[in-house]
Amino acid sequence: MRPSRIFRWIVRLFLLVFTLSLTGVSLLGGFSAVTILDPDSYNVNIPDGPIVANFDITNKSAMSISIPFNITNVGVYDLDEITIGFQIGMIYGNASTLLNEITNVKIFDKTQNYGSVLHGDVLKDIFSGLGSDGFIFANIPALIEIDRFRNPDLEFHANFTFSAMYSLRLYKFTVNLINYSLGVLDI
Amino acid sequence: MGAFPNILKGIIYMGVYITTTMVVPFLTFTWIKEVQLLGVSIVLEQLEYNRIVFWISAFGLLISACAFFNYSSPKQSIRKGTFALIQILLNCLYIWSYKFSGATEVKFEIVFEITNVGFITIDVQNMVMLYMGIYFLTIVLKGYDLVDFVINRDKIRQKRYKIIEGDDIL
Repeated sequence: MRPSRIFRWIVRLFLLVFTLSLTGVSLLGGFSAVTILDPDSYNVNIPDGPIVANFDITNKSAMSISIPFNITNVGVYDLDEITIGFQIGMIYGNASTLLNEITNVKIFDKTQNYGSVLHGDVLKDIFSGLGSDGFIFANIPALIEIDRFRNPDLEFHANFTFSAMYSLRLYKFTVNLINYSLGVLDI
Repeated sequence: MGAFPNILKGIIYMGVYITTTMVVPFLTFTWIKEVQLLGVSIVLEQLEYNRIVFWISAFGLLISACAFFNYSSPKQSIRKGTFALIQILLNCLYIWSYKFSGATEVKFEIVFEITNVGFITIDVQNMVMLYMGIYFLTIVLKGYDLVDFVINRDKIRQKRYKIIEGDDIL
C-alpha cells in the first residue's frame, strides 16, 4: 500500500472514532434528559415546598421572597451553569393618573447561578430575595398612588426562568414560565 | 467492479443518505412537534417546523443525489474524488442549515389546557459546531484524496488495468 493511503486510513480512523464518540455523547444526553424529566420521578422540583413571600409595600426593605427547590441529576452527565431567574410583576390601579389606569410594574428581578450538579448528586437550595437584593424599589409605588377602591388592590404575577447546560456543555436548555399567578393583596 | 454493481452500490448509498438526512430528521421533528411532559403539551411552532423541514429536505435531496454519483463511480477515480468533495461541502451546508433554519435553537411553547404558560428552548449550537469541525477534517481528507488521485493517476490506472487483465486471464 502507498504511504499516502496509509496516512489517509489513519486520518479516517481518527474521524470515525471522533464521530462515533460524538454520536454516543448525543445519544446518552438524550437518554439522560428523558430520565431526568421523567414525570413520575420529580427530579426537577421548583418550587419544592411553599413559596414564602412578604409583599408589604409600606415597608420596602422588609419585602422578601423565598422559593425552595430541588434538582436531582440522575443523568449520565453533570448539569452545568444552572441558572434560576425570577421576575415579579405587580398590577394596580394607578391613582396618580386621571382614570386610575391599570398599571403593571416589575418589582422584583433576580438571576442566580448555582454552578454545577454532578451526575448522581442533588442540589437542594432556596432561591431568595430580600429588600434591595432583587426588589426594585424605584418601581414600587407609594401607598397614595394605589387606587384602593379597586378590588383587589394589588395583583402579583411571576415569570420564571431555569436554564442549564448538559452533555459536556454541548446542549443548553431553558425553561420559561410566564404569568404565573402569585396571588392578590388588599391593603 | 463492473458498471451494474457500481450503479447498485450508488443506489444503496443513495437510499442510506435519504434515510439519514431526510427520513430520520423528518420523523424526529414530526415526533417532537407536539409532546406531552408532566401532563402539559409542549408544542413546536408550525412556521418553525415548516422552515426546518424545508431546508432539511432541500439539502437532503442534493446530498442523496451526490451520494449516488459518488458511490457509483469507480474507486480512486477523479470523478469519485470530485463528487465526494461536493458531497462533503453539501453536508456542511446541510449541517449549517440546521443553524439558519432555526433547528439548533428549537423553541417549544408550553400549553396548559389552551393557554400558553411559557416556553422551552433547546440550544444545540455547540454540538452542531463540533460536527462542523469533523466535516472540516473530512473536507481536508477529500481534498487530499482528489490531489492524490490526480498526482498518482498513472499508478492507480496501471494497478486497476493490471487487476482487470489478471481477471481476464483467470
